[in-house]
Amino acid sequence: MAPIAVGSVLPDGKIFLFDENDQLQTVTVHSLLAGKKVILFGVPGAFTSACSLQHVPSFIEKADQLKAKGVNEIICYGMNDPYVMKAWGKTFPENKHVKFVSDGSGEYTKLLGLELDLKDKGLGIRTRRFAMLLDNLKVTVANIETGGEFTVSSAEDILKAL
Amino acid sequence: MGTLTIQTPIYSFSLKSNSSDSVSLSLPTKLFIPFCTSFPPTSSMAPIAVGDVVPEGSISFFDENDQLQTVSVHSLAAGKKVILFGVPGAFTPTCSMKHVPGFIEKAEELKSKGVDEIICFSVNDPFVMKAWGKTYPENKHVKFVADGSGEYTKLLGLELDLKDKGLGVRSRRFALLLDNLKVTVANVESGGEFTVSSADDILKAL
Repeated sequence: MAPIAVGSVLPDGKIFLFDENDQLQTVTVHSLLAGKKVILFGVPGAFTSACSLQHVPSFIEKADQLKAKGVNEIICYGMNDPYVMKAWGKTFPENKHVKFVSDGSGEYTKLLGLELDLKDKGLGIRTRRFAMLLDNLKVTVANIETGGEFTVSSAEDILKAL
Repeated sequence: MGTLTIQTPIYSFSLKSNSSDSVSLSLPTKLFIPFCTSFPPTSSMAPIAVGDVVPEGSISFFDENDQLQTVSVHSLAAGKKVILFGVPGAFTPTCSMKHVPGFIEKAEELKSKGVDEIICFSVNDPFVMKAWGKTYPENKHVKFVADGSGEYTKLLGLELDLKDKGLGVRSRRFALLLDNLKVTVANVESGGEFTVSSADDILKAL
């Protein structure tokens, strides 16, 4: 698929997450995000350096500011399984707003056109790093890195666009 | 003059001598070519069993200097008495709260009975295996290795379909005792249950 771009409607597909009652849920992206202003940011790998030390913390720190500007949800997305995403989320005890969801099947990342080959690092196919702003499923900002670098996909970059 | 007919499982062809200086070859007008959707065939290997030599393949892990290493299983286990135990998923309940702790607790006992290495194996990436290993600060001996691609699990014949839980294809839960690469004990669960693959089960076998 061509990479998702501004103006597109986010494709529908299934993702996994643990809910507030710690139950594993399979939900459709559309049911999760319809009617809302959402930041969806993607990371190549839970527990990897840039993802853990820079990308996620930037959204945790700016969460209140982003919410004050009308953002309803901030969702961290990765191709790790939902158990790993949950455990990784717990390593950020200061986190109040960022939700961690899993493209456990690897299918949704294909629909976004954002696959990244990291087989050399033992990671298989992952998602490129990105941050998108969605308004009722429509992509209004699409900051997508070529690979795993961290140049345009931070919380600050999204804040500037709001 | 004569005809030589050659029969293969798929088709036959014949060589006929027409005269003292000519031969004709006849081929069937239709050739049946088995249609393979993949090559090599994707049927699973039979599960690893006692008496087998553990297959050769690659796994990865972070070493003591925090460097990512990809090594061959044979180089890791040759010449040693090794426990290789497999878990369906890092950070999942049974794996985290029962299977791994059992081997951490019994590690000293196992080592005193001649075991050189205790290796925890899963189809997770090496970053996840490293992070999961760190959640056991009391651990002194168990090493955490990654079959990131799932390829080694296929060689062991131990795949477990957990796609419904967002885990993809993983490894069945198991505990193997290897003596210079030869499987002397193979305690393999049918799926993710925890009935025969504990450290205690291996201890009884030592």
